[in-house]
Amino acid sequence: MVIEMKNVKKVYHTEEIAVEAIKGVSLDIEEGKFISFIGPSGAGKSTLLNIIGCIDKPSSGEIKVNGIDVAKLNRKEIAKFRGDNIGFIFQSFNLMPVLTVFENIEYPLTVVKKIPKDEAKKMVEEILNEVGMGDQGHKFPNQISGGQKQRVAIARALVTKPKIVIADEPTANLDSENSYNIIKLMHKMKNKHKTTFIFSTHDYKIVKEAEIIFEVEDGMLKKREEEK
Amino acid sequence: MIIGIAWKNIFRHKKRTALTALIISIGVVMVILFSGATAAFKKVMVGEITDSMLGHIQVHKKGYMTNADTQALDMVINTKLEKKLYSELEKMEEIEGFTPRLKFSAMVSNYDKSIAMKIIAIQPEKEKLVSPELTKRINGIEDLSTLKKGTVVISEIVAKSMKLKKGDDIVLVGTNAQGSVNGTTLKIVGIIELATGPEGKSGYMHLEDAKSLLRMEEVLEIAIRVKEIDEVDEINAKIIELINKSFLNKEGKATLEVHPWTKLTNFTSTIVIIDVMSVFLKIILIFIVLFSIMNMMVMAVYERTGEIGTISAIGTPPAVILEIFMWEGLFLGFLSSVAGSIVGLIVNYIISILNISYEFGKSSLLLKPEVSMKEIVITIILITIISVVATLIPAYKASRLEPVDALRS
Repeated sequence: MVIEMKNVKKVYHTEEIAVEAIKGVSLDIEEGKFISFIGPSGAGKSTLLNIIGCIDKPSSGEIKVNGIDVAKLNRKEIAKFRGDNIGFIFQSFNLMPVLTVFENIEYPLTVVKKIPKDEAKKMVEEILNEVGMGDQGHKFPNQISGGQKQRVAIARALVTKPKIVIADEPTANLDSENSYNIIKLMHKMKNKHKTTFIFSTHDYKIVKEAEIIFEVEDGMLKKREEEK
Repeated sequence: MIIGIAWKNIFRHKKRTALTALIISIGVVMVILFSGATAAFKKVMVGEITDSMLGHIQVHKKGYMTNADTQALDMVINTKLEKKLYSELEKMEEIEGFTPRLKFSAMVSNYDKSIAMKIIAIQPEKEKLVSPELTKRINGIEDLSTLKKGTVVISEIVAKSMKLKKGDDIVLVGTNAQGSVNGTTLKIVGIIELATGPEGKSGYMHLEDAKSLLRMEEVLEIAIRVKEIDEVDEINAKIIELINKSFLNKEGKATLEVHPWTKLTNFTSTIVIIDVMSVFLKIILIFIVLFSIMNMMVMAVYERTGEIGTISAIGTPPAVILEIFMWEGLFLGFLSSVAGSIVGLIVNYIISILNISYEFGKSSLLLKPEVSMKEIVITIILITIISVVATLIPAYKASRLEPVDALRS
């Protein structure tokens, strides 16, 4: 199992009340699956993805990612763990505006994984071609479209060859055609790289591409559709 | 790549970066202008005091400086010690020249009325080496050799009050250490202008005439000029060492005392005040840099919180996030201080070619601002370090952001 969750809870405390965002979720995910979390806004999809992506910690329960109990890692170790094992695709693309498309993809290789520049260059060129952006490397994020930005974000997430890619609402800022194309691309990349893809959406049209669909509602999880 | 990102980041908000850089640069320009102007003032004043009055170092009989009357003729250096000291000073290559002097108070009479005047008796040929600028203050003398036996240079104030001019005769009456009074007739060969400094109102006569007038063979002081004024303290220490070794009395104590020019004039306290003002100005500059950079970096962290969350989520270690911001602060401080230094140097150069001069009393200060490369480099290093320090807190905050909180913002 690439992800093992046992009775994971997440409680947010405000000054007056405590809000339980995740209410005891248990979940096992196998390697190389294309998984979707679907549900309305505020259901807890993002919280669940943040915990799986190791950028948030559960209030209680256990979570193992790639066999590691991530709750036991310190700040530095968890950053390294994410760099080695997890890729992220964000709703708003989150590319660095001062870097070119090429540099945005090169960043996790040279800064996070300390891969030599020459080697990184080859890897970036390869992944850029795979996402259909081979001739756009020199452009800055503000010079490309939303769909292209998300392709770059997919390339950035995959270039380090992570075990898991977390995509929180990757199509929320795209039109339906681009949304469909992005999901197709993610699926294609999952097959090519044997990476586990977990994405959240509230768009029922694109969710059908997923192999496993989990419905998230009020902090709880239920499997809606079995493997295709 | 981190350095490249930091470099690009400082140009994200060009207007804000330009404004911050401008504030720092103006601060640096002000410091350089102040340093240049005060250095020029100090140089002129120190030059006037050392080159036309004191010399760089003076040797006196032990106890001279603590004596209430610094022209007391019983505080003399005896002839034997004087000659021994000359032979030692001649061996020192760092010394440009040295000369004996006698200083005393005398009465000047024009056969009609009398007035008191301080006299410095010199050996003109030797004095030229020690006080090369002295003749510039004396009207009527081109070369100090003109001050021959039987002649005198009187101060401007005496000349005015007694209506004396060049070519007139005066009678100079002096009293020696034993109280014996004697007088001599001397011809005025020059009128010396008043000047700021400890001996700015004294007249001059030939040493041999003074010895004859006072019926003594000894001298009161030996003034020394060194080749490099920056080495005064070093050479002063060397002479002290020599005296403590070879110029001892029967009790084994030094018979002479040595003082650099800085201990012989009150202008040293003016220099200290100028230096304190300079330090104050630098402290103000430090605060300008500190608050400008800190403000800019706090804004940058606030605006880029989401981006910090992204790079943190994809595995960037906290130390690298800290490093990116530190580089930004370093670049901004370094570039601003370099730009400010260049502008400051250009303004200094323009001021120096404009030949602006200020008159104060009878002295004039030609404003030729000079700033040493050492001072420029120190200023740039200081500003750069302060910029990095100012970046520390916002950079640390950025590196400690939880990715989930940062992304949520």
